[in-house]
Amino acid sequence: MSSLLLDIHGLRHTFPKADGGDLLVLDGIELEVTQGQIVGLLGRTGSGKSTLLRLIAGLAQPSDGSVTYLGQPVLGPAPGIAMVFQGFALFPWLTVLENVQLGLEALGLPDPEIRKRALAAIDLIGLDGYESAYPRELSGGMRQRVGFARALVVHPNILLMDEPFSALDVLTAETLRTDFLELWGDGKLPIKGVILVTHNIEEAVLMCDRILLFSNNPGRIIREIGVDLPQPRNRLDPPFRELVEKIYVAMTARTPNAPAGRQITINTVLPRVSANLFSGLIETLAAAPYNGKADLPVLADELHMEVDELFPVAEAMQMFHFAEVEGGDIKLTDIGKQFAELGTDDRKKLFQKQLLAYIPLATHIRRVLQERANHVAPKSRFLDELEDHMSTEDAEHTLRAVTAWGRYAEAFAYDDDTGMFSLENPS
Amino acid sequence: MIVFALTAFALWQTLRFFTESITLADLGTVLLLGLATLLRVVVLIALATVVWVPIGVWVGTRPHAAVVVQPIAQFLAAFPANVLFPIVVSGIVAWQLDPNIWLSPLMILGTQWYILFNVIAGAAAIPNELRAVGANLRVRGWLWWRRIALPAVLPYYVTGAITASGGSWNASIVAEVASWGDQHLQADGLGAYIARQTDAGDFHRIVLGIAVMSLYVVVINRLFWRPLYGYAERKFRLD
Repeated sequence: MSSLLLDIHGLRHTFPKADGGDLLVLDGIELEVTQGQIVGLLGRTGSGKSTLLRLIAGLAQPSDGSVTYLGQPVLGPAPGIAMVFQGFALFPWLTVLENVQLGLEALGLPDPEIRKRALAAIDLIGLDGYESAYPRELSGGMRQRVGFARALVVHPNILLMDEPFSALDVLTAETLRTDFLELWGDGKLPIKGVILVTHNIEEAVLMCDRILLFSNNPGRIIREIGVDLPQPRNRLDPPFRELVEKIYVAMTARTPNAPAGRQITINTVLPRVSANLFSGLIETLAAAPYNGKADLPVLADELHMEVDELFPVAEAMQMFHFAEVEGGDIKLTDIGKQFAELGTDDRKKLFQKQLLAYIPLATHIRRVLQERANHVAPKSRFLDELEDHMSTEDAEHTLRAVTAWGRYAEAFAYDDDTGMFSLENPS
Repeated sequence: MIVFALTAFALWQTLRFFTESITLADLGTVLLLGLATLLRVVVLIALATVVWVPIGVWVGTRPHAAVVVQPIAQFLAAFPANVLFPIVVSGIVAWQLDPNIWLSPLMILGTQWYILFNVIAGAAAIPNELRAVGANLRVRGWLWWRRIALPAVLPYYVTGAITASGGSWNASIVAEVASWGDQHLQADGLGAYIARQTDAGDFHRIVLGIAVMSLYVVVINRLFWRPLYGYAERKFRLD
């Protein structure tokens, strides 16, 4: 009991939609965090994991269910839960020292102690000498160090990290991760537990003791994976690679709730993937060494893409029946292989055929245009329809995705100045 | 060379135009009256700041309130304030108040809203992550105003205050002299001076009054607002 830091039970969260309905973003979340753990929340954009972090921080209240911290329900920002942000979130008008002192000032501590503790945190996190600098004078890595120092200085029990390394370049991110893990391992951090939100599979395996995999729309925990590799971990170790592979497999597995690539309706949220990216990936897959089939982690590594970038492409290729994704592998279908061998014009024709056969929204737009006497229809007509079933943002993205595909396939045209879809292709 | 000659000629003509009928004593009077109006502008902008900055921040950090209030503030800024003058004049007469003090608020009636809607825009522009930091660290009360809200809106406030103070100088021409029926009220100030000379049709003194008023506005912008704006932009810009 004493080692249980955080207990989330039956949590459900909705956002209001444009038409007055509710959009479910998190559903059936159960989570316990005990002392001494780094727990990873891994999922794609739109899986609600950042929202969950905000709920834990008490910045918002869940629609249903409970968040309990040290036996007390979280009803507002709780002392003892501090947060590190993706965009650093430093106040540009405060110096490094003043930024770090802010949380201590809010605690109403006496000035000498504020200064002493802030300087100690700055020292610990490797910011010595930067005390009087303003954030704009610092590099991204240094800025995030200030973010860490500011969160740690209040001696929180739980540290929440919202994709803290994703805005940094590869080398800087790795340095910060290693430094953090070293301090954590040596027990030098004044914290008892960590929750890390990430969409980077390797980062999760490198840092976490437990990884919770999130599904999309709505966010549900689909799987929990324990990581018992000793620290420091080596990315090239076979057990490390196996775990990464296992997570890829889990994240691409078909579940009854999320039929990947099947049963798409007019109201399915579409990934925004350009036709060029399609062609490029299909060509890459068709050629040696892949010859039509690739391991997703290997492919991601090869193409320097993160899950967040690769999954939408894979998903889109699956929707078009150009490829199959299963068990962490992506495999070209016969149509996909055929596509790879065609020239530009024939590719467009095949793309149009697949688009109108398998993307119901595209078929729908084309049919509406054909039925209308003047063969034009405003964007708002389709946007309103979509917004009844998804968030405004998703609706906008989905319509943009289908517009781009429709243009490439020459299935319909769109004029952004007038906001009108039409059947005519301006020559 | 030709340009230079033309400029010199124009200056000479202007100077002659003035010295014909205006004395140094006139200039001294007008400068003094300008000081009186300046004092009014400074006090009024300070008052408007104390009232509207907190309200603007409160509204701006609440999206629902901002959606309602912002258009109202913009409407009020465009509203012809002179329509309200008769009410004020009859009030001053009825209670026998000092016009030097009580006519002054009219100067800022139409221009104070620039402060309000700029501050609302500034508060609404505070990034969500920064507001989340404040909430997460439980920064509240005066500390929140001092460390987060006021610095965040300062560049916006300065923009609004420059517009409001410039506009108030202009408004003084109609505000320092007010009439309703046979009631005529007058305050001592540069605005009243210009209004009076306009009524009298004294072209030389109208030009003098306007030139001095422009001089005040430009000098104050140069010496006070510009440096303040530069400082706010450098230090408090969110990017």
